[in-house]
Amino acid sequence: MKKQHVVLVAEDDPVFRRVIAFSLEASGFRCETASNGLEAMEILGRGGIDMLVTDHQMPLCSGIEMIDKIRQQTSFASLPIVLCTAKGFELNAAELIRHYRLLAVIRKPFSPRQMIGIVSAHLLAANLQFAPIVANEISCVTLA
Amino acid sequence: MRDARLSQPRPLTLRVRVSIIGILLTFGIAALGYLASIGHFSTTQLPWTVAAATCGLASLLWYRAAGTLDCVESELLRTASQSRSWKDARKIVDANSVATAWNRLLDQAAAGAEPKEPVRTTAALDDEVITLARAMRELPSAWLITDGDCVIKNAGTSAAALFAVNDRRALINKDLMELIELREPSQATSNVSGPTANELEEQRRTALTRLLGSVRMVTLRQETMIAGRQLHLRIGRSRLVGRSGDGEGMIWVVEDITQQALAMKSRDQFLMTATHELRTPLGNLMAYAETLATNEGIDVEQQKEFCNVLYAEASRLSRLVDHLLSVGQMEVGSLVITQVEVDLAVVVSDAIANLHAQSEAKCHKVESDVSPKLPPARGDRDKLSAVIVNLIGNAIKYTPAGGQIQVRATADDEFIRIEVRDNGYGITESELPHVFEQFFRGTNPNVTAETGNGLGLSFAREIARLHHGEIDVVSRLGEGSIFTLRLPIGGEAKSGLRPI
Repeated sequence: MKKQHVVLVAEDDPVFRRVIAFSLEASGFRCETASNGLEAMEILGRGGIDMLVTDHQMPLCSGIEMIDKIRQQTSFASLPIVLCTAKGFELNAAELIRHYRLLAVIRKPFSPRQMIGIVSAHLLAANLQFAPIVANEISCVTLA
Repeated sequence: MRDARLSQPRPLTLRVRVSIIGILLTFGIAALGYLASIGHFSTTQLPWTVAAATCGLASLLWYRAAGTLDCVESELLRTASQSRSWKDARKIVDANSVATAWNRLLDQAAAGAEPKEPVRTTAALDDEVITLARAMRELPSAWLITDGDCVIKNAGTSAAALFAVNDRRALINKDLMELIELREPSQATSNVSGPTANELEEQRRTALTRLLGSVRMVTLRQETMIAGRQLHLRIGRSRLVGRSGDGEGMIWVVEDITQQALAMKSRDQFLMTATHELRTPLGNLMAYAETLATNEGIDVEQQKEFCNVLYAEASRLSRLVDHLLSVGQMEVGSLVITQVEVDLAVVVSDAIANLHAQSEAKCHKVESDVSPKLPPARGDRDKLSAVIVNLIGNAIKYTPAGGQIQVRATADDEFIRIEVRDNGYGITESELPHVFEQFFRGTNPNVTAETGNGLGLSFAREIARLHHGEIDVVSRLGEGSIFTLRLPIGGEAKSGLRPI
């Protein structure tokens, strides 16, 4: 049976959070949600998260602050992260991707489909990449 | 013509002419008398003698009496030539009234012609140059003239003010580049370290190279420290190029644009925040519409929910645009406030009625206590109504379900007070001073969970101030908030009568 990937969505706007979660679930992922950076870090700490999709501008702890903190922990050193932001070109996306080894920086407004494209492409590719180690997983993917 | 006449020999004076006629007459009559006496005429000699004597005596008397007038006449004739002026006329030494009058006339003329102060002889061109030089000195724009090495040779009063010296002459022979801290790494940059310092240093060097370069006209902006003040300057310089032999140098106009720079920065900030705020509902609209369009098999309940979200987000966008427009109008001061009598009791009850659906959804208890003799306010009914809806709406929004909201309207001698009290989440002490700032939103998760754009209270306070009123807030985290709108009384209280 296919393992369901868990994606954590950190987004302060409840309306947008809802539609992202819905779209991810509709695409076959399991979804956890957080309304700010602190809450997101708490959920990450519990473990079991395969990927993080986070907004940048959030109260209490911004997306970049959170990424900065979690990248310092070895357990999250390779966690795939997608950063969403409503900031325009004042944010140096290329520099952020390089420095924090981000999967992508998506500028708002974006379509959930676009984001799901990035998430699923990466998680499926990750499955294939880890295939020799987790043998049963690869059969699942080929079956799927 | 005048010259020709004046060059003629001086004519005889009247006295001389009359005297010559008198002598000729005397001799004529005497001759006739003599001829009569020797028998040519048979008349007696006596009448002839008498006539000749009378004539001679008259001439003598005339000659004597016309002496003073003759002096006057000869003085006038003497000074009438081109080379002499009337000032050469001499006084007459005599005791009669003509002499006295003549002397007085000369004195008065001399007194009237005496210059009040030393006369400066200037050609018409010099006058213009002087006017221009004076205008330049007092020009309300800081200009300086330097030689080719930026050593100040001349400067206006405004330049002295800009560089904080009392006298413009104190600037002379100083290095302008040193004054605007372009020559050496400036103090402002030496305090900064890291990449910013390098950037500033690079900027300084580029500016210096451009200003000293051979390009005829250069304009640039530079941030610098002058007399301990951080200033934004717009520097324009032009090389003085003239005919060979003219002094070479540069003319500079330095403008302090610190205020404009700050205003521009705050406008940019506003635009950036506004764009961000607009993107949020827009992004939601796109996301929900796309989800509805592309996902098959969404059940009807969910479709309904998504459509509601679409509607709510569209209204949020529309409200935001309205607010932005109002804020924009307030920024430029073009928001129009109509002046009518407004019965706030009606406004309050209408606001509560309008918000009934929202308050019921959260099971709030909304109480209103409006003084029956509340005097009317004067102002814009729609905008005041929007302010009160905003205050009560906030109370409903930021109070957990089952809360208590009290709206009280009272008046004293000067002001009407509308107090909106809730027992909601409250505001932290650190956030309290910022609640009226544009786009400010609390960081309390319960607050951020609600939709809002952080413009409502800034709008409300601005409207209150435009009515010569104010909005204040008292709040404690976890206990609730009290927002008080204060408006000046705008008319007589009407007991039981509603304004038309």
